[in-house]
Amino acid sequence: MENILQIKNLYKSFDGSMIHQGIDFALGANESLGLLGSSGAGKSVLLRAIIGLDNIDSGEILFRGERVDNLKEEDLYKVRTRIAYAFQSGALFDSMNVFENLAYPLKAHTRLDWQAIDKKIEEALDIVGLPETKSLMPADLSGGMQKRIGLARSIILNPEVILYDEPTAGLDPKNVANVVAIMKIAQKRNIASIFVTHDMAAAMEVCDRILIIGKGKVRFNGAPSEMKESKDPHVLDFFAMEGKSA
Amino acid sequence: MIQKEATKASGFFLEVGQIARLLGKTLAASLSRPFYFHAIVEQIVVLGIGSALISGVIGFVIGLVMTLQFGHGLNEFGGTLYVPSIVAVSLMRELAPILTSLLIAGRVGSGIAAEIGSMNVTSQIDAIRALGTSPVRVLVAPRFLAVLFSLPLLTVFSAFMGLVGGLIISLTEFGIPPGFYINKVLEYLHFYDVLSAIIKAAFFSVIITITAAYKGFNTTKGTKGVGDATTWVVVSSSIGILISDFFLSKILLTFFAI
Repeated sequence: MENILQIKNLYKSFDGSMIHQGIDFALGANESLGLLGSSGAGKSVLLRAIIGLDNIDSGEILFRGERVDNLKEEDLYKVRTRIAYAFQSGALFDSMNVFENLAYPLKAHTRLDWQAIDKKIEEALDIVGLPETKSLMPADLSGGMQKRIGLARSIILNPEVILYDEPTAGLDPKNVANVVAIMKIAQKRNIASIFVTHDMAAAMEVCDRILIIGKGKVRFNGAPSEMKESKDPHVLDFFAMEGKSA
Repeated sequence: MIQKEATKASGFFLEVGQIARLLGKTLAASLSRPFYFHAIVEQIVVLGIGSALISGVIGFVIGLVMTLQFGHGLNEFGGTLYVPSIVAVSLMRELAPILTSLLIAGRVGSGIAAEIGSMNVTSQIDAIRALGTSPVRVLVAPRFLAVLFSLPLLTVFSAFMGLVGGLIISLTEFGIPPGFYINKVLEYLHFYDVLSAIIKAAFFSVIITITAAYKGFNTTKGTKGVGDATTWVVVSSSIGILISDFFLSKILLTFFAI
């Protein structure tokens, strides 16, 4: 399988504390990769680094074979239209209604007229199952609905990769099912993804492959079915911790 | 102890450097495509027109008070007739730019810092970046241009209202006829004075918007951080305005050799 994204020997520290110490992995085209690890392992930090929201200390990040970790902020804008980021909170613009939130990337990166933008937005809202929310403000939406609108905004430019930062965190089972359904629709559209989560069941349902990171390194990289067979002490620790918190 | 002071000093210069960098980015974003005309007009309405009433009131009241004080002071030396010219020149050259800018620093600067700061702590700034757009272009440039356009106009408007206040007090307290007052104001108030006010206000608008945006982008620690940021912006930009006013006055006086 062709690799769409490659992370090579990535190091990242915060305030003198080393978060990543040589992370290596690749994401295949159309692949859904689950990124697991205990809290503070640096999963979200890794996602942010991939689209250049945070700089890395050393290593390489390649998208379609081209290095993106050394690009200037202005040069990363194009990359970010091809790699979407779904924030944990949704990160909707609270001064704009749902329509304006979804129109924002379309206005910034396409030459579509208002009619075409409206059509695209209706399609995106249908995918996330919230067709009647166009005129609502983010404050009028529940947390789950905000996340789904955030997902709609992420997929509206038809990206090649989506980075999901804990999209199911803090949701009730019904909303988790809604989010998982949206992720599966994106999967069917051949969008590759990295799914950061603590939700093992959702990861097993969505992901083709699982990566577990701990103490700055990749501790497991394989099929979901092989995950429980790992003998790595960090992976065993992770399962023990997740078992306790579940 | 010395090391602590040295760290503080280097932190200060680092902050000044980052503010200068933000100014450079804002100028570049303001002068290149795409332009967000709709956002600029919206900000002019919110920040500029929204501050017109309070600027006018402040200018008017300052005109009343100054005329009253100068009138009584000069009356002792028989110099009441000089009141219109003194009030006009001091209002236009100093008081209107300074007081209007301090007002805008409090009203608009704190608002910009709070808005950008809140967006920062709720990941909305990251969302702007993640959607392939520039927060400086989207948020700072429209506010920068709006305040740059509005503050000089508000300053001149405030000075005009001050002159109206001066006219009323000159007539009612000192019996100076309106025709004489207006003649004296026009005789002593030169184009240079108005230009000086406009240049100062434009310079102060840069201080206000850039310090506010800088602090907004660097807001941390949630809602408490937003509160701290607004306080910092009002204090810092007020100090910046007052200090730079001295140097600007000196430069402008040298330039125009008045």
